[in-house]
Amino acid sequence: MSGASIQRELLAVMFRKISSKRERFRIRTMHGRRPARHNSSLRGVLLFGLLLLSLILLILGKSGNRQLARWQSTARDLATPVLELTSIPAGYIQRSFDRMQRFYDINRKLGELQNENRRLRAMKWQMEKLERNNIRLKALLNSAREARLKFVSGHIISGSPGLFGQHMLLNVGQRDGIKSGYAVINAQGFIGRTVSTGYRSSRILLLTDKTSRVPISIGKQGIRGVAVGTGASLPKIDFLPDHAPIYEGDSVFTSGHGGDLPKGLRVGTVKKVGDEWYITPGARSEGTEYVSVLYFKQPGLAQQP
Amino acid sequence: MFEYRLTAPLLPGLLIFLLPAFAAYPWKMPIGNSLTLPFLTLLIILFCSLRYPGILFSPIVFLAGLSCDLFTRSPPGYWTFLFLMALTCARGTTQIVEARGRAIGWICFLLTLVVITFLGWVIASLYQGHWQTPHAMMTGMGLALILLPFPALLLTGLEDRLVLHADKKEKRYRW
Repeated sequence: MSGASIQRELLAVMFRKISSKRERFRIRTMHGRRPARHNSSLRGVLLFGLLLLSLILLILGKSGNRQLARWQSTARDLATPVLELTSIPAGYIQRSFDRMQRFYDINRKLGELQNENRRLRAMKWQMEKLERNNIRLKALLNSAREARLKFVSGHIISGSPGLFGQHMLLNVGQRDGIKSGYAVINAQGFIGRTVSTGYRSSRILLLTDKTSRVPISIGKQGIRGVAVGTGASLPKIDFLPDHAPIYEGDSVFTSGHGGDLPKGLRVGTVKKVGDEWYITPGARSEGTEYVSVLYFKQPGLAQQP
Repeated sequence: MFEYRLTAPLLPGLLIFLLPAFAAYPWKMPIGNSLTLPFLTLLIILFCSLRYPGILFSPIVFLAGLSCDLFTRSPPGYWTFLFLMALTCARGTTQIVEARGRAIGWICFLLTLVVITFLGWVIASLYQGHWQTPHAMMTGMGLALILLPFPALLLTGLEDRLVLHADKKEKRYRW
């Protein structure tokens, strides 16, 4: 082979190399796509392995594996600062939307509030009279004084109704003295109870969750029943006596039976749907930012873990 | 090119980790549906994997899924599985998209979405032991689709900017 032909051959090889390089570069930059790599089978195996691992995690979660639950609790504790951090911009966005909405609602609400104010002023003196009567009658009966409820307030850092139950995560936990089973309220009334506690976070089981059962008393007659969560927005009233005289709009309070929850926390009002009785919750869990956890220990009952 | 390689996986990576954390916030808005932001994360994974194959690594997606499970109080492995399924489907359809063009790409995108939503509904129903109403999932997915243009614009905007920069360099070194 002559020198010239070798040179031509070398140039051709170099040109092919440059062309293919430029082509790959063009594809990558113009379309953002990278040429197939040789280790694609390895990546496929890795992906398959991770898919399998996620399925195993699902199965372990369903079987109630304790180790996994412990890891989750630890991870939730570790994630609390992240959630608190993200709740700052999220809260800002939420408040901006709220302000816009409030601007539209303000005129309508003003009239309502003026009416309510008049009604409340009229009720105030009646209340004072009733309170005086109540103190006098209690003194006559020599009844036991109910314990004052202590509470701690916390910030909801996670929570909105989901597919897998209705829970919320609160930024107070064992370090604040929270234990499982404590009642959680907001300004409108009872919203649920604590079901698991980490060092600085606790999970609240909402009144509307399918597994929630709360003993209640209904109306002025204090008819007993149980508020059973349905997973929807309205909990159902169960275990009512036959032909119980309850009516739509009757107030519902916690009865305190069973000793788990304090008596007299406002739950909501009675609503009839078909032949069934439901409760329209007084406290809406959606959009709630701050709640209070009530320390409640019924004397004579075993302490919760 | 170096900047592109460095920054391109950063934004989708950040997005898929941050969105589930925001899903945990008790929103009063329609996005308060606890499925909207996880579905939006899923859409971003699907979008990125179809448009920029190889940009999202499966371990990153796995970790994002686990954090999503944690933040949305879903059973561990639920969103992880769905995110990885999205990645698998996207990898399977990449070649079809490259060969047939963008219109087919969007059809693949929507088909994959329907399949994964259905899969999510089936897994949720099996996990709970009874058939879930598909309403919540469909609402979540619908809202996520409405919100998708925002992160998509962000991602494509970044791509345009970086690719333009890379093109200038290419011209400088052109033979």
